[in-house]
Amino acid sequence: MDPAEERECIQKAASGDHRAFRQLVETHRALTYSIAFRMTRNVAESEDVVQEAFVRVWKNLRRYDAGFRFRTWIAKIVTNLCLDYLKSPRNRKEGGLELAENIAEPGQVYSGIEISELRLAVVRLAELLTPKQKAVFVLRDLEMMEPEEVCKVLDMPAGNMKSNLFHARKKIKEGLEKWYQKDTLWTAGNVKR
Amino acid sequence: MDCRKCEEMMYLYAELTAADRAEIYGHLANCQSCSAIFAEIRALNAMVSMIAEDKSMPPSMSNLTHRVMEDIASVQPSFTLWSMLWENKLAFSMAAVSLMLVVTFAQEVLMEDYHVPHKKSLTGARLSVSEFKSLATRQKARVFSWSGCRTPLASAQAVKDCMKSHFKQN
Repeated sequence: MDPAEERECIQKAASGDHRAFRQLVETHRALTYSIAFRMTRNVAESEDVVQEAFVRVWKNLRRYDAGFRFRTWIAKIVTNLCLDYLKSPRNRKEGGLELAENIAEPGQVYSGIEISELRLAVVRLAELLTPKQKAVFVLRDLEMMEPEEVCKVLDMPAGNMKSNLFHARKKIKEGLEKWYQKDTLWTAGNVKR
Repeated sequence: MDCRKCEEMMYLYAELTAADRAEIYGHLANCQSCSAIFAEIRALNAMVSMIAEDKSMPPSMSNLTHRVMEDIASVQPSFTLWSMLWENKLAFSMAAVSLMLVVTFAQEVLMEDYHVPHKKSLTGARLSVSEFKSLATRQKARVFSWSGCRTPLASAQAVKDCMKSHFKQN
């Protein structure tokens, strides 16, 4: 959807047009779900977060600030809901239950790395990050957002964002080095699709 | 630049300015251990980029959309005073200007003969008792004349003329 079309949709939806809002949902549901799933690692919870985020968007469309990109605005709502979920006692009790258990044990040596296996390892290691580090890592490295957009989504100064990103990347790297043999891990071309 | 600072910057390579990157390369030219770490970090970035390409999708996209649309069916976008003012800003501005004109006009009509000396500032102005009484009487007469002149079908000009004639008589 081009920006002009999106603006028109937002205006129509703000005046109560359900069809226009459906278009907005269809455009942004993939991004919102991807952020939610990468943050919560739980299908049902991700769907609930996305649903809640769109309901909030619908209720507050009249307050939407056109100076913000709509994508940034909705990413901000989803991320905040995910951070609330990650900080909730409910998540602390259930956290990680849905994570696959067949990940390599520390010290196990692999000659080559499957991409699915690597994804699982990164996901598992991301669970060890603080909620803010995880949010910065997901938005910047996995959702490939620009640094300025990440700062806007998280309401975070650039210095703070960079500090969180540094710690997140370092923890992931050190974690991967524990799971895999160092020489194998960092040799180009060892990751197979 | 020391190795510790260099390591921190290497992790944030993608977020650095060209000048910062040049600084890193300057350090790497003389430091083998940092060069090795830099190669690892670049390999890590490449791996993470591969993972980023695999987006997770909900089991059923249309089902998710349906749930959202069902949820909002019973809710209306919230209505705030600010949003109402902002949306109708042109109408409200016109109304404010019109109101200002009406007030100014009414003031002109009522205050036409009401000469308070303006040479001094209003706070510094002092009226003698006789001046005050005379002004108050004229104001009272004006109010009476206003109510006498006002009839439902009279135009503004007719009301004004009527009031002027009253003043002249007084």
